[in-house]
Amino acid sequence: MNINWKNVAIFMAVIGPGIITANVDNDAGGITTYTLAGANFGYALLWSLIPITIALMIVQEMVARMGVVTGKGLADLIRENFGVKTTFYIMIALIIANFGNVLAEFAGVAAGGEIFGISRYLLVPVVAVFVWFLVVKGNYKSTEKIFLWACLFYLTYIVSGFMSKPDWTDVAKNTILPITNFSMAYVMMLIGLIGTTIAPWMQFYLQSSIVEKGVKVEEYKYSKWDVYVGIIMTDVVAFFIVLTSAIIFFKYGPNYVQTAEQAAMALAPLAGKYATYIFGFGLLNASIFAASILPISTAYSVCEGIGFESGVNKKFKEAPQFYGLYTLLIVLGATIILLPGVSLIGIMYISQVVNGILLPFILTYMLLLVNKKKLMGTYVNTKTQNIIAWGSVIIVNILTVVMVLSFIFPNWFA
Amino acid sequence: MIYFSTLQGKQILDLNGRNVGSLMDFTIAYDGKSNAEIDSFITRINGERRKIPQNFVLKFDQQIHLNVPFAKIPIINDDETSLSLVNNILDMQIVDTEGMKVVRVNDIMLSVKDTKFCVTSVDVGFKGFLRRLGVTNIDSMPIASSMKEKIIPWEFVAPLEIDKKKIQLNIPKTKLSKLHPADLADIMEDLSHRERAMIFRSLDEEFAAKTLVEAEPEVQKSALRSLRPEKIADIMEEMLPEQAADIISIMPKRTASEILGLISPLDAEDIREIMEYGKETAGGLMSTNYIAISEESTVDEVIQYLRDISPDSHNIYYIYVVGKDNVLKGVLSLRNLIVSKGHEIIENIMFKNIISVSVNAKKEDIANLISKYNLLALPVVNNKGQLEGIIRSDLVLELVMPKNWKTNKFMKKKRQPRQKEINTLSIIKTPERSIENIEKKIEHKKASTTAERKKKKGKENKK
Repeated sequence: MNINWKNVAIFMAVIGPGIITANVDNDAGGITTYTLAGANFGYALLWSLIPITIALMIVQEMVARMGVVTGKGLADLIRENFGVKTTFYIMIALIIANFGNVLAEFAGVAAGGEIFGISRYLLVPVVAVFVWFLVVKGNYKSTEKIFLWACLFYLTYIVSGFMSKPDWTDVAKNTILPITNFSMAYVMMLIGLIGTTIAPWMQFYLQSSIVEKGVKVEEYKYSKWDVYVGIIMTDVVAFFIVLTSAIIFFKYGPNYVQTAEQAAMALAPLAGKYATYIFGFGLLNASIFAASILPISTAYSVCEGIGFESGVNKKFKEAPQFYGLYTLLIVLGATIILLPGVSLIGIMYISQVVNGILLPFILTYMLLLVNKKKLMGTYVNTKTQNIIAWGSVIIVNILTVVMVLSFIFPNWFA
Repeated sequence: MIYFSTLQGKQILDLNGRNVGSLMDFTIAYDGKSNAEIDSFITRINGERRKIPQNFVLKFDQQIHLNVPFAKIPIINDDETSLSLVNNILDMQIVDTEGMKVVRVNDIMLSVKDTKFCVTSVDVGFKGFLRRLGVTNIDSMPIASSMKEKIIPWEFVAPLEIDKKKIQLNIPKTKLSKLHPADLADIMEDLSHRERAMIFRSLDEEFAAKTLVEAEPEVQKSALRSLRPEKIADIMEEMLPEQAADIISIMPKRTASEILGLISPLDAEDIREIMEYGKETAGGLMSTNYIAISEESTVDEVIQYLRDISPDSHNIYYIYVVGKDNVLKGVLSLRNLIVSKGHEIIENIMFKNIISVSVNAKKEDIANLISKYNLLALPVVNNKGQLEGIIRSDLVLELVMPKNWKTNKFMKKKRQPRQKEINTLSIIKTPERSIENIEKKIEHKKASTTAERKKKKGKENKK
């Protein structure tokens, strides 16, 4: 087999944004949502992962393409093409969704810490301070590699899944045939799954990473592979989290899983009594990794859109809004988690539902941008891409409406 | 003074009060003046973007009134070949050439005189952002006092978003070239890859070369990745060979040979020569840009030669004298050249006790020699004594700084406002005095016997 080494070299040079975004996607919110999906609904939601993965591939490829062709970030494009008002509303939506995620990350830190018997009142502030300094003053890039390697932890779910010997025909049936269930809980979980897999922050972050890498149009096809490989890795893991949780927890009835320690049991077939520790480690790694990315990415995007100075190489006086927003997200996030009576699992799950609700709003503008000939030239969307993407927007909007209605009128859908 | 945001959407009425359309955009003349005159209005008539030239405006109050009836409005479709406010300025990033940053335009300010509109400045502050959002009474809000107005006069605005294939700018140089290359290189650090490439492409090659030389390695790599090889070669031909050699050394090997192939053979030869020596030795640091004359020529011949070649200001202070086979024999200062009689032979008036270094000398030795003898330049010779190049004294600072001083995180740079006309000549000491100093020092040491002192006095009487 002739390996074209030049192509390999280019691939190695552009790789990164897709893989990182995908791995951070399986953060505390992700792990929790996938676990609850399996625990509360068994195999009934497995089918949804395939269309969600396809939609994610389409959406992320669009975003990467925009980054390569225009060389600008998503917030930048929105501002330049839709003006101040639209930018303002999208930034508000982004801050809300991303803040929810930041809360989820700190919740994950608290939950993971408690598995090891560390009080959240100690661990959460320490992690908050650590993350702040790492990103602002420290060498984030080398730490990123450590985080990534630690993500190998997710393989435990895959192995666990095989070791628990499910009925594979049953699994296959549920993966291919969709189940229609309009109870509010089901619809909400569906939105949560969509929101955690296709999160709004991912689009902004991926496009910015691609722009920073300076990927040229000629190299774009390699970036596509970076994105696709990342997504497949992530969604296979997601599938197995749902699967293993279904196997272990579904028999106990809905709402059985209330704590991270219980959630850890999904790894029991593989790890036995060490399941909690492995899970705890993975959860901590995922949470700290995401906490190093989300707040700063939010600050960058908002400043980019509004026109504030940004950059960690600037002093506080030179970029006050940037540092202010970043610090506020971390401080507020950490503080709320430490309030008494806060349900960690609840936060981790609901934040992903918020992602799902806000997704169509942001996706709509992305679609308008990616179809603009003036902006993308010959790289506008194909018909198929448009159908799938617009389809996703419509479907998620319908689901949101159904969810709200079934919340207000529970009897309609019982 | 009006804000463009309040003008957008205003109704345009013809002479009879009939509604023509709403104001979408303005096109402006980009001619380097401090205020940009509006040359036409853009509106939509029957679904088409149309241009209405400025001279069709009668008066302007709550609406814009034209001085012709609807039928007489010329049908000019907007082909987007002029600079327009909405496409190129509003909500776009521009370079503030005074504050030396990249900022985003939130609103545009115009002045109106009779019916003539002029762009006077742009608003890049948050107040402008709020005004666009529709927040009307900003000043009465409590936070208003903490928000400063950030207005940039139009003469300091350099737009970045200009599609050069479509828009012809009628001034040859952009406003960016009024900046000092080092300042522009600084601004580049904040820009994305694409913006850096846009700027480099818009500069003429000489300015681009100066900027690239001053830029941080990250900016250099970014520019090299995004420009076409032919353009890079053109830019590098404008650099001194040792500067080009530095830049080539950061490129991947394949690109480097491709670019060397595109550079004119003479320049490429110079660059290759320099690249053969180690980067930290005299050979790798030297410049091949010096003046050398034969020891057998006369003063008149040399002066004529200098007139013919019109050397750059920094080359002319030391004129190196070589014998057969380019062997370094001495150095001549401009002063001695001028005060000597025209028929004198160089060999007799030159300074023979010349200080030089070998091509393999290390940078520490070079720095020591230059500072010890207060030299402006140090000649570099090979093992046969042949002159290969010179090292200028302004290189000494870079030689002695620690390796990564440019990218050192702790040396966070403070943005300086634009320097007015940096005069490099004022920093360098007068060269003639330096040579005389050395001459005096050495002669003084030698003159230990009264006999030699007498000789010296005799010589001085001759002069």
